[in-house]
Amino acid sequence: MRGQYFYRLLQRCGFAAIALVGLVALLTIFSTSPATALPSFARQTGQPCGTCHTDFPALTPFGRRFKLMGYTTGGGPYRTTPFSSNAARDVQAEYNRLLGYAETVKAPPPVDDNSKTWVPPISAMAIVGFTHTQADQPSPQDPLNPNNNSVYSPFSMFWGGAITSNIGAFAQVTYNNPGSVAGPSFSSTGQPTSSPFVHTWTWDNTDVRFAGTANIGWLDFVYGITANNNPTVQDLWNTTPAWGFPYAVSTVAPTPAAGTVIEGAFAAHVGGVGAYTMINDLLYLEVTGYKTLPFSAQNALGTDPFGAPGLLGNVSPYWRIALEPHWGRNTLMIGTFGMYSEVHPWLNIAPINFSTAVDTLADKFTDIGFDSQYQYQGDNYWITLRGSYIREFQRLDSSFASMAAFNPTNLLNSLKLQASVALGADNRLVLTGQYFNVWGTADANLYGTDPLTGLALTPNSNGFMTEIAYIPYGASKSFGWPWFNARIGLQYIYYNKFNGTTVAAQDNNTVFLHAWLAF
Amino acid sequence: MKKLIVANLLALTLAGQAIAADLPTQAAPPIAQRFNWTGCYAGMHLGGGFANKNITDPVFLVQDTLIAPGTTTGVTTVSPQPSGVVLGAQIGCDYEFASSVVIGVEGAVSGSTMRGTRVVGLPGSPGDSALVQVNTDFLPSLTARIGYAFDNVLLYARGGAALAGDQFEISGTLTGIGPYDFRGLDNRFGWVVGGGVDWAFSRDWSAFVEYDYYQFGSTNVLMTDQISGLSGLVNYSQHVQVVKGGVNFHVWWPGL
Repeated sequence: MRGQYFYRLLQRCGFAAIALVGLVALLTIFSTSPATALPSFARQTGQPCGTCHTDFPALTPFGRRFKLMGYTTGGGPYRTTPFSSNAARDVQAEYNRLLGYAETVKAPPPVDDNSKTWVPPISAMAIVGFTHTQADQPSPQDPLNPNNNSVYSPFSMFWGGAITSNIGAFAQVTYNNPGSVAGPSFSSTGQPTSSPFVHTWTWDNTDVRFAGTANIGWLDFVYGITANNNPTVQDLWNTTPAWGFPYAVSTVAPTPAAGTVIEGAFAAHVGGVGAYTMINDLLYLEVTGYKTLPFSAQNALGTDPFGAPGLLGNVSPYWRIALEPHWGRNTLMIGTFGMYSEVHPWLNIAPINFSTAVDTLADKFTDIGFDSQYQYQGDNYWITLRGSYIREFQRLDSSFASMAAFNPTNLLNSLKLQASVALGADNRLVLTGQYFNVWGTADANLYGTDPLTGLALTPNSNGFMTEIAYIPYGASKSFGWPWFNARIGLQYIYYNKFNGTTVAAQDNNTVFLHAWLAF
Repeated sequence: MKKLIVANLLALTLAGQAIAADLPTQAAPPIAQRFNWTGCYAGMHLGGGFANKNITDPVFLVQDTLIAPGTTTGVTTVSPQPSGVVLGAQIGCDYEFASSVVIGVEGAVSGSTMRGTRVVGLPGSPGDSALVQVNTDFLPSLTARIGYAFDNVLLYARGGAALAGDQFEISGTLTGIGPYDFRGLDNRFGWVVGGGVDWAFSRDWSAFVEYDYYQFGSTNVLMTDQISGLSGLVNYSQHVQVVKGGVNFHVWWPGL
């Protein structure tokens, strides 16, 4: 209720909200306080933002190793863990010895970690954004305007850092503005007209890791265990869905309806435990199993269970293989990832029924992805090229039987090709361009029919996305560090095709101006 | 100063003599370093694919679904033989034993243009026929390989699991009923065996030619008429042969 009131206030004060974005941008630009990406990581490592990020949350080679090592790397001005934590530095020293990454990062001064103060690795972030679409959005939009909306959403809090010398976590809790999500609503007779399980506070991306190192003959291993709640959130590269570009999106602009299961369909609805290893800093292997959380557990964590397509019947296996050779200032990755899931769809999710029953039949999804990334570190810039392709084979035993799908089997493909240049150390300017294409089998029941031709629509959407972002603090440490960071982005999305048709596709073209604050 | 210069010159001369004295009187013949297959690699391949598919029974599907149950007598099998280009990529890792035996694993994925058609008559609707079209557009595999290295030439055999992404379409027009267009998709798991020769023509690069035989057995695929919404099963079996060549870029384990 309070959130809605605040939202309406913002809506009424649309110009004020835009001004707020501008003010934040100006303050950020002219402020002298340096910052890092997730400030708690910076406090722990003693490193500036640019050590781990080319453009947060996009990772550098060192940033990937920090994550690989379970967020436990120490060396900062504060004690690494609440426990005796010199061992955490020993782990990192061992890893640096193995990899030679100490050359790229200044070694921390030899200070006894236990003599430092421990500060809980808690951070927060907020995104304030202004969204304009090429055409007004159809009614009803209340409490939003048909166009030109300013929304402060989402707001997140994090635990980001070491717990012990071998265990660390990235755990996010998010507040979603009720104006930007379909919250619960009730008819005049008190009957629910939308899901009562939509919450403003919800757990978000979470990845808890244990990591260690070993040496067998000429093979060096970093090995670990990950427990997380979103397939690919644990991945080290920004080519997989959870951490892929765009890093900030408008919560009020229309987006293509179709996506593969691995592209977030079960984010925060599942729990997964997996094992991974990096061999000789070259070959990354991982296997993780996912299972949907019980209905009550999802609801208790703030996740609307009906936000997922159903419940997973068995443990869904996820795999990841990546080969990352690096030479000089160049880093290349070629990899594959994927998941198999058996989804039992909800039998009846009409709000008035509250039925938590699922179909005994399952829809089976086989997602196979391929990705590649090339990174070059210049003297004062980064160049990153990324590509990913996901092919999803859908055997819709349940949806076909219930006539939710016209075809018993469908294909869905997702392609992203991206180039990014990050210029500068501090006052970093990041230019990113991406081509995206989603295409698949036409299905009248899943995607509807063309009103003109009567033919079944496809899930096809494609277009381009460009973004210019300004990050004031990339490499320096001065007064105020490491407590604050910011990213100002101007994003434009152009649709050539949207949800199966080119007719009025450009109406969904979106301009998103946003200020992303982390503290 | 003059003494210092002379002393330095003398020192240089003596040093030069000492170095010269260390040199062998005759250069030793160079020892060629054996190519070491231990490491990982990534690369691309290009080739041709030739499939044989037996589809049973498209006539029954069309006639008994759209005309009336019981229209079809007998069983009809059609055998399109799709062929086309195979293009893809692979990553893998090998280990070479001192005995020159090499073992490894490889993951490969290919996109394919393999496509084949057959026309089959419909006795239940005299004069009408159905066009049966089969595509295979996706062919990934995960295999183990074993080989023997003759220095920089590796003869190998491989075997493992494979998957084929198949698309089926049976279309035409039935007199008195109208057009029909049955479509179905299948992801079919099977196995693959093959062999080839890999030639390392530089420290980092190798080129290979390879033959693979894929067998995917027999299964049913559910097909739906895109016009009427009616569905029915056809059975199909298939095997695929692929001849391909490609290059790999080898990444060496640090320390080797």
